[in-house]
Formats: sequence, structure tokens, C-alpha cells
Amino acid sequence: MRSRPSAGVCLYLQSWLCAVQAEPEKDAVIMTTLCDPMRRGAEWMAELVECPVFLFAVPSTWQGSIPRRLYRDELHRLGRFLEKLGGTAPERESLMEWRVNYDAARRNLRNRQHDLSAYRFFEMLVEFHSGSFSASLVNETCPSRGGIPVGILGGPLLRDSTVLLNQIESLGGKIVLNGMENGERTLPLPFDPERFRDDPIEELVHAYFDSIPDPARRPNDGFYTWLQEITLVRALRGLAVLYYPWCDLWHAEIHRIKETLSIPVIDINLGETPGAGDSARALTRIQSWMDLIR
Amino acid sequence: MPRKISLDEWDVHYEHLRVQGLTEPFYGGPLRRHVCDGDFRLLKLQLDNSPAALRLWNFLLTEEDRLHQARREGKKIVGTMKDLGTVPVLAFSFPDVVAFYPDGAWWIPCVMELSAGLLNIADSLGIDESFCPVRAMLGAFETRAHFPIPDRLFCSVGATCDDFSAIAQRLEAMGHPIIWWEMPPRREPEEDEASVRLPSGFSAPQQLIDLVKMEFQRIREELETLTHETLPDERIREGIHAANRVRALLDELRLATFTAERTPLPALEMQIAEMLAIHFCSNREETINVLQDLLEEVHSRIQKNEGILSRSAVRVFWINPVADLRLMNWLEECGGRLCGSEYLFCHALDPIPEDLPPMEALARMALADPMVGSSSDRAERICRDIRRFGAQAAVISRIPGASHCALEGRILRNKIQTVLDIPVIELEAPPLADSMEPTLRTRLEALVETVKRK
Repeated sequence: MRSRPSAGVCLYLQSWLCAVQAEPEKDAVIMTTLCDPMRRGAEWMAELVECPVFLFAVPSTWQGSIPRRLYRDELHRLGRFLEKLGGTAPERESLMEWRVNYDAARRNLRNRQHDLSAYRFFEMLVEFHSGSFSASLVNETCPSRGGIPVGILGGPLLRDSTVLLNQIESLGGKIVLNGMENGERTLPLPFDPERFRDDPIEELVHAYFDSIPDPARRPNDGFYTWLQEITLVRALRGLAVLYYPWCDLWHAEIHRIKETLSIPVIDINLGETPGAGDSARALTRIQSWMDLIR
Repeated sequence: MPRKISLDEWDVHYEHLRVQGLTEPFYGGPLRRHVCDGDFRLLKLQLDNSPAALRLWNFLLTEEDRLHQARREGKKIVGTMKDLGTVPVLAFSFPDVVAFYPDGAWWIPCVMELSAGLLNIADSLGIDESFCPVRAMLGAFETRAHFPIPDRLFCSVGATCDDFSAIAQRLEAMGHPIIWWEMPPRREPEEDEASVRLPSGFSAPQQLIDLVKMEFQRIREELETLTHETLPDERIREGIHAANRVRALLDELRLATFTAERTPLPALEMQIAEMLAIHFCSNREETINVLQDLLEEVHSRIQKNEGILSRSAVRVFWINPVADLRLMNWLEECGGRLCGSEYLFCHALDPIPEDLPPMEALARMALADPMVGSSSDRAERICRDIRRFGAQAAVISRIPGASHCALEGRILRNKIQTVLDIPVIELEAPPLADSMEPTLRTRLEALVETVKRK
């Protein structure tokens, strides 16, 4: 079974499987159960690559102690997996140093959002999420244009779909919220230095599991609370929900998002093939949406 | 003589049985009355002509009435979602609790031939045809025209399909509070990790079983609060024992039917019978009676060497439940017979261990769910069952819109073909497959031909 799944499968998962398979230098692949296709995709990945595949179980529920315990156990299990591959558990001091650098880079990145175009900010976020967070990343200047404050929201955005960011901004929008999965929405909370020193795993659980808003959580009221708050704080005048075909988790929330917010919300199906066919249709819809917001 | 007959023929046959002294349970009566209630699909189905099958159909099609009656009697109605087989065992251990799966609403569009408008309601709520037909559940809750709104709703999430999870979340957002519980994905134990062999034959780390046990304890406490009753372990043991009685009867029925030289009971009735395992169609004791009747009928037909199909019917193993019940008729009309099935819940068919503390036993059962582990695990179990029942071919029935089908079909097919060297086809049918009948029949006929030529 060396070929990848296609029909009826989320485009992001297909692209992910393809990209990882093509990556020549890898010792392991780590995937999570945030969505069911990814959970099942891990089995496909194990057939496509020679190296071990680790499936991290991210609990869907969050209330009570059981999901946190499961998440914490998974962090420990991941640690054991990495050690088995030859990794070494970090010394406490180097862990603390990492925390300081990570927090600083994340803070700087957030602060630079309004100086950058949506596309450049997205690029920096993707690099940050992939583990590159050197100071130089956020020192460049790239003045963004003004415009009507709008937000984008959804799962992970493929590079081929980022053309939409420029389209929105060229039509007079300014994307002040990048709520995509590989955007700012999934940046964890700043770490508390003392809690991190006392129990770094517990602080990771708090910063990531307790804090990142996501529609996949059950119940997902916390996601809607965050969405309503950030809409107010960033003074959004419109929101675009971007999703791939077969992404049930986002598709199912569109109606409720529209019911919840009092601003114009547009949903854009990013299509089976990135950059082809649907882009003209999407552009027309974005134009109408921007006209509505103006 | 045993045979399949239409509803028109059942009208005549029913009168004939009555004259001969047919005795029926409290929910008995002519099948025609269900058509008057809106179950129009009966007009197109071919049904077994035995009194046992009559009882089965009446039992199934009166479930909503029983749920409403239970509500009038002051019983607590508990809706259990997604886990397909384990939480109802706990719920039915309480004397005044009736549990059912609102998920079962997925068949309403078929049985009522879309007349209830449930899918249109789901569309209006933003849950369109790209989602699994279980979206009909939203319409059922919205109209309140089918089952009573449960006193409590439980739903497992985690290692579950996204469309159901999303649909259940939509249900909660419509104003129906849900008690969510975590079903972690089943994984292989690490070296040096305490592990357990589950009833289904899979393995799982004890750590995960302990987590699921804690979730079941939480469900137990919620039910105790709902009923103002404490549930001692001894009553759960009794509940497990009763559930195992159902499972044992079903196992005997499946083995007898699937391995008989001539098919004693049609595929359609076998699928309905198997569905009784997951929540006992809201009446556990009556489920036992229904299955006993069916088993008696099957044994009688086998003894008399009677069957409803030709001896040369090709033995087919069916994977996944069909959205349109007519497909089970078409399988047989195309020269096949049902010899084995895996309708997403083989863990509801296996006996629950009675030599363990009851909550540990239930947790192990829940983790034995074929859908919470890998598709390879599921395929292995399917291969074992194909061997057990002697199937010559397999059909993977994709559920339209279901998020798992796109990813597991090829894995299942490859494994079955590699291990057993039998032909496997995948097909997909919507809740009303009438317009696709020629295509689907052609696929089934081709499968039968492939086997016959071997």
C-alpha cells in the first residue's frame, strides 16, 4: 500500500502525506488525533515511510481531570519515544533557556503583526510553528497597508491557498486576525516562569491543552467565547472561514459561526485542487463580501 | 415454505396466521400499520414470511412507541451516542432506565423514504450531504416527532469519526446538553507497558483501560444522580449477564444462519437482528424473546433442509451497515447470500467478561471497538470472521459522507485480498438508492460471477 489516499480525503492530509513521504531526512514522523482523518492518516503514513510514526492522542474533551491526565501521559510517552530514537531529555537549565527564547520570539512575532502584510505574517507564523524562531525572523520591516479590519479562520492553510490573503488585502481588507490552525490561533499562552520551573510538563499542558481554542474540542463553547472576544478586541468588520472539502470539523461550524457573530461571515471552500478552478469563484465571493463590509 | 414476500403478500399471510392461532407480543399486529405511520420503505422491501420475522419487524418499528410509553411510565430515557454497545449495558442495569441510540435516526430517511424531511432540516442547520446520514438525528431532535427527547445524553468522542462528533456538537448547540466522554484511540502497548488482551482479540495498554474505566465511573455517577439510585457492582454484573444472554443468542443465530447449507434467514432480517445488540431496541428482555424466536425458526428450517435462496448462492461477507435497507434484498436477488457481517460494532457481539470487576470488563469492551483502533486491526478481525463463516467474497459498503470510509476502505480491501485471496468490492449507496439500483446490482452481480468462475 505505497500510494496515498485521494477521493473523499481532506486535501491537507493528502498534501501532508505527500510532503512527508518526499522529505529525505527524517528520523520519525509525529502526528496527532486532532481530527479523525489525521488519526487514520497515521496508518497510511506508516506504510509510506521507513521511519517510526508516533500518533499523539490529543483528547477531544477538556472538562475534568481525565483529559488532562491523558494529554500529560502522552507528553511523557512522546518523550520516551524521542529518547528511544536517540534524543536526550534536556537539562533543566537548557529547558529554561529555551522557554525564555521561545516566549520572547512569540511575543515579538505577535507585536509585529500589524507591521507586516498578511502573507508575510503567515509565512513567519508557519516558520515559527515549524520550530524556527530566531530573533532575525521578526526584525525585518515590511510595512503593511491599512484597510478594513477582517479576520480569517479555519484549519491549516496550504501555501497554494495563501493567494487568498493577497486577494483580500488587494480588495481593501486588512487581515488583523489569522485564526488558521497554522496561524496565531494556535500559539500557546506565555509560560509562567515559576510554574515552568516547578513542573515544565504541567505548564506545557496548561499553555497548550488548556488554552488553545479549537472547534474540535467537546464541548467547543470555549472556541466561541474566544471568537466573540477577539472579534471585539480586534474590531473585526468581517470574517472569512476557509476550509478544505471533507473537513467536517470546520464545515459543521460555519452555520453556527454565522449565527454567533453579528459581522458578515463568508465561507470559502478551498477546493480539491489548490489554486485551480475555484480561485476565480472565490475572488468573486470575496469581492462581494468586501462590498458588504464597506 | 420459507420465502421472502412483499408487504401486500404479508397482508394476506398475516390474516392466515391469525386464523391459525398466531400469538403475538404486546407490540404485535399487521405490518401494514407501519406504512400508515410513514414507514413507506416497507412497500419496496421483500420480507421473510415467518412469525419470528413478523415479531422482529414489529419490535423494531414500534421502538418509538415504547420509548414514549416508558416516558409516560416515569422511566428515565437516556440517549447514548456513538459507542455502539457498551454504555447501554450500564444504563439497563438500572431498573427504571431505558437507553437508546439517537444515532439510529440515520435510518429514518430510508424507512420513511425522506418523507419526514429530516435531511432537509439538517441542511438548514448547515449540515449538508457531505456529512454522514446520521445528520438525520438533528432533524429528529428538531421536530420531536420520533423519539422522546432524552433525560440525559451521553456521547463518546476522541477516537470517533469527525462527522458524528461535529453533528453531536451541533446538537448541543441547538440546546441539548451532552455529557461528553473521552474514548482514547487504542494503540499497541509499549515494551514494558502493562497491557491486556481484549475480548475482541486486540491488545491495549492497561493505562488506557484505566482511563476509560474512570469515564464509565463518571457515567455511572451521572446515572445515579439522574435516578436518585445507587448502582452497586452486583447490579452491573446482572446487567452484563443479561447483555451476554443477548450476545450468546445472536452468536448462535449468526453461526447457524451463516454456515447453513441453505440460507435459513434473509440478509435483511439478519442485519436488523444484529442491530438489536447495541441497545436492545429499548427493551432488553424482549430482545431476548425476539432472538429466541428467530433462532428457533432458523433451527427448524435447517432441520427440514429448508431455505429461502438457492443452494448455489455465493457467500458474501458484508462490511458496514447500509444506509438503504433494500441493498440487502438486492444482494440476494443478484445471487449472493449474507455469510458474515461487521457493522462497525463487533465489540457489541462479543461476550463481556464476567470474571472481572464489572467496570473493568466494560472498559475493556469499549476499547475493543474496532473503530477506535487501526483499520488493520479491524481488517484482522474481519478476516477471522470471514474464515469462521466461510465467506467467498466481501462487500465494503461505504457510508456516504462518513469520514472514516475514505481512509479505511483500501486498507480493509488489501488485507482481505492478501490474507484470504477472495474478491472484494467497495460500493456506496445513499439512504434511498433506487436511482442507483442498476449500477449497484451490476456490481453485486459481477462479484457473484467472479466467485462462480473461480
